Amino acid sequence: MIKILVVDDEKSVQRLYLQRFRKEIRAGDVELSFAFSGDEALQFLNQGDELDVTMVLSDINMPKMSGLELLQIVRQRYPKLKVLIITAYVDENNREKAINLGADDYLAKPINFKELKEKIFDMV
Amino acid sequence: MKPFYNKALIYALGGVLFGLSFVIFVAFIQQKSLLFWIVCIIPLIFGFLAFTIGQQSNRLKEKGQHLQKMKSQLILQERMASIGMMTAGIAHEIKNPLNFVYNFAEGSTEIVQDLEEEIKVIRSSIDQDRLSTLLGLIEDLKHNSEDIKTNCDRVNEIVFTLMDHTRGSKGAAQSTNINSLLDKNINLAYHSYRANYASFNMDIKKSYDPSLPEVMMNSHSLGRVLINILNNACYALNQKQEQLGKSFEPLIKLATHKVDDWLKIIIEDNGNGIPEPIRQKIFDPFFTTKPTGSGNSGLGLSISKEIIEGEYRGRIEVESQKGHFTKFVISIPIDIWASAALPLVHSSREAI
Repeated sequence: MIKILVVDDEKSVQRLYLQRFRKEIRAGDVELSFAFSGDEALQFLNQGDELDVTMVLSDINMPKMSGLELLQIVRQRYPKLKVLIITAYVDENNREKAINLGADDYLAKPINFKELKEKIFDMV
Repeated sequence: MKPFYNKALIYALGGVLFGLSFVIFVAFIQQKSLLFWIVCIIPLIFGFLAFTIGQQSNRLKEKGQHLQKMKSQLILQERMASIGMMTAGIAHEIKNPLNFVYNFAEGSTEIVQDLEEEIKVIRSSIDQDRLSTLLGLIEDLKHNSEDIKTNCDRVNEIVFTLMDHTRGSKGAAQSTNINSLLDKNINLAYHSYRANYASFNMDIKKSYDPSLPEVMMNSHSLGRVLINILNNACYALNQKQEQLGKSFEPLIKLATHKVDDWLKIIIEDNGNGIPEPIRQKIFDPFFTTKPTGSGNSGLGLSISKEIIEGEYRGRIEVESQKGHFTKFVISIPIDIWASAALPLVHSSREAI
């Protein structure tokens, strides 16, 4: 079971991911949790055991803490946690920044869920 | 007035004064009085002064012109940078909602499939008329979500093209050989075209000027212009081949020349040409003759024109005869290379 925390400030993301991962969730392969800000994500990760979450999918552009800042903190505190950055910024600059800060991968919006699923299953 | 004439004038004045002093020298050669020395030396001094001042003012003028050129280049870059920043911002704002539209549409497709499965299970217990209505509605839903997805792809393509254009000026100037740049892009265009239309074949005739200097330039945007024109040429040739079949032999002619201080790149295809009324519109943004929804944004040539005129201070012209040929001529002043080495303003990238 892959436990994924999705971090994005847009609420519709929850419905979108639940819908697009419907089959995987039903099959018990994937469990999704959601946080709508960097702070919420850190709180969620702090709650329990580190191993409760296998992977974080985070947006970059969010109010207060950006996805890249979140990435830095997560890297320090939970070095083994996989982090995938998903954003509408498509330039090389942001991709490089994310990879340099230790992101395991980078995906551009509009999200290709087929590609996303492949990446997720490859990673674990 | 060009600085050349100015310089010549000053040199002439210096020369005349120098000659005058020589004549006076000869005239007074016999009488070595104090007056002789004074009369002889004064024009010499004036001549020398005139010469020096002329040289200095010339140098100042050149410097002024150089500054003026740099200034307009900077203004242009500043403008491009702010356009770039805005486009990047708009692109980001569009892509976020587009992500939802696209993926909810795809999600709907999946849901509709599941719905079909569910109905299959209970189909025997439903009235047959009702069942066919239901299946018809589901079919409509399926088409709707497919159409939404296709149109999202179109929006995405346009945003991508705009983004690519505005961040085009990134990267440092590199020593570039225009002939090999042209070679690289014709290969790229031809092979990517053949990937989609395997039966397409064409001849490529090259006449490159081997004496073209290697120039310091950021070749990214010129490469984009070349690929746009070459793609159009391949498209036109393929169209004509599909019309006429084997009797038609598609041909692209590529040429480069150095004419005075201008570099010329000529790309000619023997396709169906561009009829006169259309020719006037080909550089308009979003103008395209290709079928709607074929992934062509109609931005290729308008962006190319903007790049050649704005970034390279050159010209892009088209000649064509309906049914026979289309010829694009790109002319770029060679002195732009000096300023092409200026550090470009990249705030568009930093801002996002």
